Formats: sequence, structure tokens, C-alpha cells
Amino acid sequence: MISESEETRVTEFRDYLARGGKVEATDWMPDGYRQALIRFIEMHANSELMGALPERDWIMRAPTIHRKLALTAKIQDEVGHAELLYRLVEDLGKPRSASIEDLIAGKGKFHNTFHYATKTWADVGTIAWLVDAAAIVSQHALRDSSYSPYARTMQKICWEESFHMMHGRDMIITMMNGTAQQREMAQEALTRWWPTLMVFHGPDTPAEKDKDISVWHIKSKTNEALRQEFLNAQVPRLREVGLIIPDAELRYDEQRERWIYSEPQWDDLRAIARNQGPATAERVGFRRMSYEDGQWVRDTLLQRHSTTTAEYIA
Amino acid sequence: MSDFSGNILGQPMPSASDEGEVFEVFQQDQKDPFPHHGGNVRAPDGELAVHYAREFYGRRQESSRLWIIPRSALLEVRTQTPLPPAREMFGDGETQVNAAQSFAVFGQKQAGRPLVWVQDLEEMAPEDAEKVTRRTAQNIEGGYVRLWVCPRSAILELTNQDLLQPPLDRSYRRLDGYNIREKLRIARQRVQAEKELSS
Repeated sequence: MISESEETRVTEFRDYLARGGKVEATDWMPDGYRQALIRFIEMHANSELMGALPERDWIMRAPTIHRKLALTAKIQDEVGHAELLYRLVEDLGKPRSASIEDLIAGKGKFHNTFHYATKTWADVGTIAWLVDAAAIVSQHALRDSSYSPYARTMQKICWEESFHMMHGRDMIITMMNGTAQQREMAQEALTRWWPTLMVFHGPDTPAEKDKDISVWHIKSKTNEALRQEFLNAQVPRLREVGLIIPDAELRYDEQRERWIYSEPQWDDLRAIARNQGPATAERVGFRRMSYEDGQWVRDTLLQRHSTTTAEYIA
Repeated sequence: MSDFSGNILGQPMPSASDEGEVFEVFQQDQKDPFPHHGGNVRAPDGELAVHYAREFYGRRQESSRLWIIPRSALLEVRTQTPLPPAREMFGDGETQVNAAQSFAVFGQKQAGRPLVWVQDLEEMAPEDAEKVTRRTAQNIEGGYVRLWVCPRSAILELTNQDLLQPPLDRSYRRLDGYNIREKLRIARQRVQAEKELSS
């Protein structure tokens, strides 16, 4: 049982997590854990919401009705995931409106790949295949999270996302089986996106220095372990359809049982962490515009809430 | 702790309360024996909560029944929880349940797992409902980590199959909706031919 002194309580809580203990929304938790969860899950929520924007631009340009349906469904999923995750953040104490306001003020963080512009239809396939593959690796590992509401949400999200990667891979393979121009387009997209994928999981931080792993057990795998898992699964898949990965150093070291690659572009990632990516201003601006455009909807709903509340009281 | 006001779940979250109420969502598929907890939504009222729940917990045709329950109507009974309750979440809720009525009980068998419907309680006073729930928790083999109990009348139910299982072509959402095997065969063949040509 957890005792009354605050310090002992925190120590006992940390021991509980170290033993694989699980936490629910209605359980007591130290403020450090709560803040770490808010920061972590809010960034995840922002990424789901902002991730819808690069793909949204292509709905009207999708080449077939099947692609259009799939792309629309994927975007609907991403926005739905954002909503589920903002709810978790809200139960931890930060209202959804505060998260969105931080985001549109340029203070919110979101995944690096969504700070870049999309140029061709092949970008849509590359994002759906490889960005989703990178995200799925992370999300799978989060199903063991110490915070159970988050772990269960990950289970739901992973299940819903199972088709996203297939949809993207199908697009790219179709292009690779097409004309020389289509192949070129797919290759050009991969060449452009590869560096962003190599920094996607973050720098190689040892587990003991990553508090989200070693102290709070929010995640269970290191950044490097996730990157290796991503490379393991996707490098052969890219190569078998004739795509060339733009890294001359990339090879599997049988002895060390890991992928060797040239130093990723960490400066680019640092710039993005300061919200200074190539398309950051445009994306955040678009989100701000749609938030402001939607104000009348929120006002109407709020009015509806006060009316129904009044009815209960009367 | 037998009144349903000021219970652990019923307390509206600080500063979010002006944007609506939180509703817990239970879902059940044809192959699920009982409804299990999916997550929650925040909505201005019950009617919209049902629509939101359908959107978030039923748009992939994964549910044939949804139960949507306002948090203010739920009471959490903690039996074997290893951590103490979040005391700051206690407060003066608004929903008072006084009259005798029937209740639904949900239980969590194992930490981390979702809560699942356990049983309905016949018409009784709210304080008895809590006592019976507590007793049930101990009598059932293996016991429960925690239970939720709410008046049966507080559950908003959605079973409309036109909304939950619409007859639409959703093949694009399914892995077997993609003919990827054949495409892969063609791609591999091409790559192989190119290799032979260059060597």
C-alpha cells in the first residue's frame, strides 16, 4: 500500500511501475508522471491531427475512386485517433481546447515528417507506406505502456491502421509496375523522404537516459531499437520492388545483428523541434484557419450544452 | 461512499466541463459475449454523445451494440487496486440517484484490461447497489480489481444496424481488398529480369 509521505509515495509508485504495474485514469499518480504523460500523448495527438493535412491535399487529385475512398478513410482514421488521444490528455488535466490553442499558436510539437510539403502523388503512397510503418513500430511498442488507457487506445489504433500501410504499399508497387515515368516518380519520392524517416524515431538515446522508458515506463523500447525494427521490416520490401534506398552506407551487419547507416540529419530534426520545418508555418496556419472557421460550430454546440443542462435542472 | 454524487468518475474534469460532458463507451461485436469498455467521448449532450460514439467506436463496423454512459452516473468500486484513488478527482457531482432502480455492473478482472459487463442488479436502493457490487467482487472467482456501477436507466443504447453495420463496400479498408500478391509477383519478376540483363 502506498504511504502518506509524498516522497515515499513517489518512490513506491516508481517501484510499482518498475515491477510492470499499470495505472488507470482514476488512480493516484505523481505530478511528474502526469506531466510526462501529457507531453508524450499530446505530441502524439498533434501528430495524428497534423498528419491528416499533407494527405488531405490529395483527395481531389486521387487517380481512381478506390484510391479516393481509401485515402479519405485513412484521413478520417487519423483525425479520429487525434480525438481519442486528446481525450486521454484531457483526463490527465489539460483541456482539448488548450492543446489546440497551443498547436495553432505554434507552441505544440508534432512528428517531423508532417513538417514537409508533398509534391507528387507518389508522396502520398510513400507517406502511407513508410511513415505509417515507422509510426506502427512505435505504436506497437506502446501497447505495453504503464498508462493503461493509452495502451488500450494503441491497441485500437494499431488495429484501425492495419490497412493504411497496405494502401500505401499497394500504391507504390502499382507505380513500380507502371511506366518508366511512374517508377521515376516513386523513386524520387523515396529519395526525398528517406532522410526524414531515418530521424523519425529520434536520436539513439540509451534507455537509462530516456525517462519515458527508465522512470515512467510510458514506452518500452529505445529510439534505436524502433529504427532497427523499421529497417528490418521495410528495407527488403523496398528493394524487392526495385527501389533504391539513397544511403550508400546502409547494410545489415550480421555479426552485430543490426543495420549500419550513414549519420542521419539531426540538424534538420532539431530545427523541426523548434517548429522551423520547411512547411511548418503553412501547416500550422492552415490548422489555425480551420479552427477559426469552425468557431461557429463550437459556439452552437456550447449553446446546446447549456440548453440541455438547463433542461435537466428544470 | 454510497451516494452517486461526488464519486470518483462523476466529477467533471476541471475546466473541460464548460465544453460538455464525458461519456464512457462500451462496445459489443457479434462475437463478444458481453459489452466491454472501449474508451470515452466528450459531447454537449447524450444525443450527440451517441453520434460521436458511433463515429469513434463503430465506424469500422466493429460494434453491433454501443452503450453510452455519462460519467456522472458511474460509481467506481475499488477492491484490489494497487494504487490509491486520485483524491483530487473527488468532488460534488451533480447527478443524485435516490430512487430504487436497477443497476448495471462492469468489472475489470486484471489490471490493464478493459472493464466488461458483469451483471444487472434488480431494483434496489443505490446504497444497496454498492454493497451488493462489493460483495459480488469478492465472491466471483479470482475477484475483480475494480468495478463500475450505474443505474440501468442512465445507459444510452445504440443498436441500429443501419448505423452500425451499413451495407457499403468497405473493401478498401481490408487487407484482402488489395491484390498485392499478384502485383508483388510482377514487380519481383521485373527486378529479376533487370538484374539478369545488367549482369
